[in-house]
Amino acid sequence: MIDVAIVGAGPAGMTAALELQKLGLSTTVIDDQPAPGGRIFANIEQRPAHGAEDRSGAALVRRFRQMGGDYRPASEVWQIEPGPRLFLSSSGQAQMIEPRFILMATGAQERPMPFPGWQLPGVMTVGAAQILLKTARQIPDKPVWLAGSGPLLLLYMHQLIAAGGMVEGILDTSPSGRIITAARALPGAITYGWRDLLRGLAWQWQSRSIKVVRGITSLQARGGDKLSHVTYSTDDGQIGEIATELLFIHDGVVPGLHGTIAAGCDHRWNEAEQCFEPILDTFGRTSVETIFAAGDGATIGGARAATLSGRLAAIGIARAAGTMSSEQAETAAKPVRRGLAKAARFRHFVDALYPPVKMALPDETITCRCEEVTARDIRAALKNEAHLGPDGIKIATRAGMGPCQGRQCGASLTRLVREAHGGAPDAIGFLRIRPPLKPLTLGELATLDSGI
Amino acid sequence: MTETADAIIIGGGLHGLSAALQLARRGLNVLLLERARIGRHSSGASAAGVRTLGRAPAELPISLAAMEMWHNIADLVGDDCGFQATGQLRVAETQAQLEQLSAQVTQHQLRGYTNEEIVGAAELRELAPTIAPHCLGGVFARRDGAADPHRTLAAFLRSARSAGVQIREGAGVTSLAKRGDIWLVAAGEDRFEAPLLVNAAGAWAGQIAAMAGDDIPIGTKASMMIVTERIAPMLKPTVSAVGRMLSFKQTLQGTILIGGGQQGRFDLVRESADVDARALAKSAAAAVALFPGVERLRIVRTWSGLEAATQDHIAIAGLSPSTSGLMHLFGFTGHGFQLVPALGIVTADMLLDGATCFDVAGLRPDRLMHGAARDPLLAKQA
Repeated sequence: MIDVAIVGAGPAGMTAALELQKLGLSTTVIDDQPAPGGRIFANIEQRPAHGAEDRSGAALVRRFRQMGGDYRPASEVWQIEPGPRLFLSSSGQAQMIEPRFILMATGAQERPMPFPGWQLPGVMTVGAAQILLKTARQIPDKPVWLAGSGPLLLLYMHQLIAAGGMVEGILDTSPSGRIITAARALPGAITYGWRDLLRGLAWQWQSRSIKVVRGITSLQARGGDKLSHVTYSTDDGQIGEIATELLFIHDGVVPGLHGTIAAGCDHRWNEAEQCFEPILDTFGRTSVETIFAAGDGATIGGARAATLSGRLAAIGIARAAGTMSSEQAETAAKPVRRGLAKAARFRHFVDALYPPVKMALPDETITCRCEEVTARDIRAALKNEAHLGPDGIKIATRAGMGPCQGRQCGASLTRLVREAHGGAPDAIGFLRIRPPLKPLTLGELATLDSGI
Repeated sequence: MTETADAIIIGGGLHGLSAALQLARRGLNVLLLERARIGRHSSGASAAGVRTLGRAPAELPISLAAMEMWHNIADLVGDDCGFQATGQLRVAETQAQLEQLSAQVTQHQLRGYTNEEIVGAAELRELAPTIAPHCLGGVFARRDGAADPHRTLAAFLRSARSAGVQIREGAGVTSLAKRGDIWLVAAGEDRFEAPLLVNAAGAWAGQIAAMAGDDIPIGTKASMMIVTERIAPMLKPTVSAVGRMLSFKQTLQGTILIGGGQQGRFDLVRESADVDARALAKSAAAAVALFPGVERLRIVRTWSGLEAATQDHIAIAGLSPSTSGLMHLFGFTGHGFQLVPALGIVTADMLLDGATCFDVAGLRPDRLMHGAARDPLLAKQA
């Protein structure tokens, strides 16, 4: 029997695996990507490492490769049941494993940024564009407009220009006045993140030659069967239009929660980050005794914080498994927690600098892209049925019923319920997640049947 | 404060709504109490099969009556509920199964029923062109079909409301008592009173019956469903197979809906039903065996819904043998959807007239109760 199944081979998952092996516990690392590294170090074994962060990522991947534990790349975890039981599939074959503990290190997803026309071909997320750049060196052959805010947007701009791509302009959704708020948080951030800050300044410097429209409050992507124009308005009342065939959007990242929600873990609303997060104890344990969470899937902190929280969860699991005493665990956890506290102060600064976009959600926005349900449809359902929650909306409108399992519309449903009836996000909750968590064919599921 | 009504329905599933609708249309002031929200459990998780095919003799008469209503369902609730009379088909994969089916259908027809007919290999392929080559034939009920569960719920809810039914969601019944001829119903702090009471509480109906003094042992079902991505039209009837737990159909949206009664995990206290992947794999295996072409279809979602199951797999619809003014309406054991329009009328008939012209003798609750057969009320109910 495997002691710990780790879902995700990014910084948190790899660090936890290395740490758990040192602590004498056996691990299976399951990852949907073909190679270890997670999103941030995707394809790091095949591409040149740029800068200190990349180099440390490459070193982590090397150590992970050398540790020799059970590692299953290109495998999708599609169901977690009490036990715990974990169901995965790879190469068309489904299987079940029953570890003693599960560590969810599934990382972040980009925060959905809905606006009218966001479903048009030509509009894509910065994260998706960056994956194409990192794994396939795909560079858009036309000039690109970027819209939104956040460090990833600037990083991608930097990477794209370095790779020979063209960035025409940025539609910056950050509100005015954020610099002052951010400056107040700066002292807490400097010791942990001075390198990141310098890097960020360099990116900002690079963007000085690029058109920037600040204070964007609404966006509309237009075009027939693909993007041709983007119209916008700003907080000082300007209305404008640009002609472009490519618009890459980004509004920061949020924890990818589908695994922990499906596993029955309790979550709570993080007001600063405007997202739900699994509730964890001081060792990264969720409300389900056998399930731990680490990395950006637990709370957004970036790669360095992810390695720390991966280490903390490993200590927590060793403690829960009885291979470490409570005292030993507390001692081992202390410096890790100090590091995490510093990382949190840095995060606080980034949050202040790039707060989540507060754009309106006009009626015509296709909120659920899978089932093509507009914000108007959802508002109408909420008007008819006084106390529909996200699951009630799903039944009334089909929003959230599609293959993405609400990854794109889940947050909007919570937001629209709040808009219609008020109430705290914790009381409203998130869509209930139905298996499979990841794409699974009937044939794959059928392979699990032993015929009994 | 106490709210009073002429009739109180416990349970906001389809059967509760249908009963509420019919009582309200007969002029009663009806209050429906639902613990969670309308259609939260079995009704919202239903595959919405509209089937007379293979019904047990006890359920067949009411099922045939309900079928007539389904063919005119818009007359009842102002919407077609997505009902399509595309037929239900039960497939034989071996010669022995085909012979067994033929014998059953012959017997069925000799008893005067015309809803089922035998189909051979050629007609089977006309009805289901993509079915696996080894399938030999089957039995077909051509007036059967399927509906859209959410549309059906919405239509019954709308009709009940416009007939004047008052609906209280979030009202979970915590105790029942009787004062004279009046039922006293408590839902937490709230109090309700009415002379007539309908127990349509689904998976929790056994608990409600016990509160009213009736001991009706029931089990729980948490049948699971699979829905796939959309594909081009390939199949009209709903298909089942002898010897397999499978119900397979293509919806109007183009998705493939797979059920058949494989059971998920449930927790009655937490009011939750969840998928059991290993059991669900059997449904997928059965689907792939019968329709090999669906092997590569992606599953979009799977789910499970809670309801009551009876020992003899036959529904309960009848007056309490021990207390007046109480109708039990539950225990649908995975096949209650089709009976919804007819049992609403049966409920109104029994509560208001003490009898109904529909043949529901086989659904009487006392058949499952200890010692109830001696109760003198039974003669009246039959």
